[in-house]
Amino acid sequence: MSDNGHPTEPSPILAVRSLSTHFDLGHAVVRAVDNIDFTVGTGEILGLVGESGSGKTMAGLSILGLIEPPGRIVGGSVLFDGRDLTQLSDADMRRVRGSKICMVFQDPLTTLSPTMRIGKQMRNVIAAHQKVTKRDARVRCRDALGKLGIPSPDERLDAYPHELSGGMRQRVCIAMAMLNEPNLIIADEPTTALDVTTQAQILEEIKALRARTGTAFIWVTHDLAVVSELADRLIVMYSGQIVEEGETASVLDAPRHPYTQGLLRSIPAYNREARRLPQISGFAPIPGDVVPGCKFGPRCAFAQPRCHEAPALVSAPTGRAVRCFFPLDERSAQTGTTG
Amino acid sequence: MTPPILEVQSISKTFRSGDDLLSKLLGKPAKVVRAVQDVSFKLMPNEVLGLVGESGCGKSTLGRVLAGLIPSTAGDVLLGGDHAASFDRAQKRDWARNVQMIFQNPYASLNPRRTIRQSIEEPLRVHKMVPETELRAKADELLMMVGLSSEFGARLPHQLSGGQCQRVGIARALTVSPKVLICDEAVSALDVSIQAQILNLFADLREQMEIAYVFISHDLGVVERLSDRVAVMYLGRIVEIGTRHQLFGAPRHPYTIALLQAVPQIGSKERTVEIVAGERPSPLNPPSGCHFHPRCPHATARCRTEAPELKDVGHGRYAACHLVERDPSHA
Repeated sequence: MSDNGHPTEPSPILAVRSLSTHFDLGHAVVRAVDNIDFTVGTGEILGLVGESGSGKTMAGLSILGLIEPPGRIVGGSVLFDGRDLTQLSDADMRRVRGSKICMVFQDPLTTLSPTMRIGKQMRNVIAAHQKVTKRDARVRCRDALGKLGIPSPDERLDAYPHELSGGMRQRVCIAMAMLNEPNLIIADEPTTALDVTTQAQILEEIKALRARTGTAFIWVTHDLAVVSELADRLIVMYSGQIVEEGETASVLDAPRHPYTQGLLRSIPAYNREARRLPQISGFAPIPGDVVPGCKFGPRCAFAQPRCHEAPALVSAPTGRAVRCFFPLDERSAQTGTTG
Repeated sequence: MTPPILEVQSISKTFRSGDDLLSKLLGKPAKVVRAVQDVSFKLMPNEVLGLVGESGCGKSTLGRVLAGLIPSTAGDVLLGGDHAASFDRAQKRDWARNVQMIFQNPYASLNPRRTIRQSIEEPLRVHKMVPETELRAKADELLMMVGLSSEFGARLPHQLSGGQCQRVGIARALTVSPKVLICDEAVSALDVSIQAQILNLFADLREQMEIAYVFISHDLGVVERLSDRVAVMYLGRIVEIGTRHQLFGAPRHPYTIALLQAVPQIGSKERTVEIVAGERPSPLNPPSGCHFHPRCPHATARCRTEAPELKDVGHGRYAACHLVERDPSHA
């Protein structure tokens, strides 16, 4: 929890600077993460939103140094705790991962070993980073499960993953991520596979945990409604780039990027009375295809000749940023039409 | 009055596991899952019935029974007034043609080694929908109908995006001019911008071809978008069924209320209502009485022992709850 040399932003816990992750496929280079900049404040929940292929997952994996070849971080830095994580050795990175920064994935069954009791798996997470007796570890694990609203946590410690429901397994994964009291948890679509009643319970538990522990979250999801309920700030990604950023309510009330507006309007619950859902025409660019200029230009209803040049992400003093030559003002955001 | 295109009468579907010889020799009891219990409803021509519920509630099993893919354990399906139980071979074939299914994963329903055109022409040929010479033209027409140009015909499934693949799945279901489409989570795997395109396509097809839909989804927003009527399922039973406006506007069953409140909303940071507590019980061992009673904030002693009937609560709405009274207000 340090604040090293970024006087413009008070105590960001994580600062991602010009980060790019490319996949060299031989015949094409996929710019999965294309020069992104953002910070996460202490105890902040940042929503990272985009559709499949937008680079939101790759951004999360890049922070943790979990990119596998042919993928490679080709530039930029990830400043955390006074250090650039992209420059750390594998051994140093392992000390950060699972202790200072943790990750929660969509499918808990890929995180949990099917052949090991929950208690032992959780104890291993503590033991990987500090000396601890079996007894103390068990108490800590039990408390961690209890904090996530898991009934009879003592019995769960002796259970195998297959004996738990999907919601319980995901709670175990979140509890595991919390064990070493990390400063930051990166959660990649953690509630997407769960039933809505379970999802609602977990979202409430995350808010309570954050208030109690001050842990920051990067919540990666495609679901704008989840972000609306949970996140303080929101980043919208498209084709590897950040296209819009700002305080959650302000972005969702008055999106400035045509893509954000299009996404919001495609949500059925948002357009109850319209006979047809407003749709974004076309498809997202195929990874590896080079789109000159604005990446959203070919699908954008407002595109102009100038959009053949690449717009920069422009920040306003309000904390809002948008990558568009012709951002929607508040009025046209409400009355304009897409698709 | 027009007869319903599809009617189910007290359908139940039970799956048994551990029913093998070894378990019998060891004296282990077979595990029984009552996936669907005593479900009845009618689907009118050109109507869209939404079927919602959380995982394991039996909505997909019910969809498969409707399409004739699996037999029911009890009860009967009626197609245009005829009992499916007494169908001969030819009638079963008609059933398979008239009720088509669209699945969640569009790649899984296409043969990866066949071109899109081959996949679309096959049902046309099997059901002798058009003469051999017109196959190609008909396939192109179907592709056009779902918003794909004829050049897609030459492609293989892996060369298509998820949304394009789902369009092909829909085109293939339309080859045999079905009267009913059963859509089982047909847009759940798609990105929201693509989902909007497919939902608009479903709405267009409904107008153009007068198809009725059973639209199965866990996504209440999607169901509200398309449906005329909605049925809510919980652990194998329908707990409430009514018009879209009744269910989404003023839900009566405590589970419907809980489900709607759990849906995240854009623009609501703080919850004003209590989230339903507890977890969905295992369908292997459902609670006694009303299946929802362990999670219901209003449960009484009667709810624990006696399963409520699905009863008329007024204005064509039915609910299975001891505590929901018939609405006496304006008829």
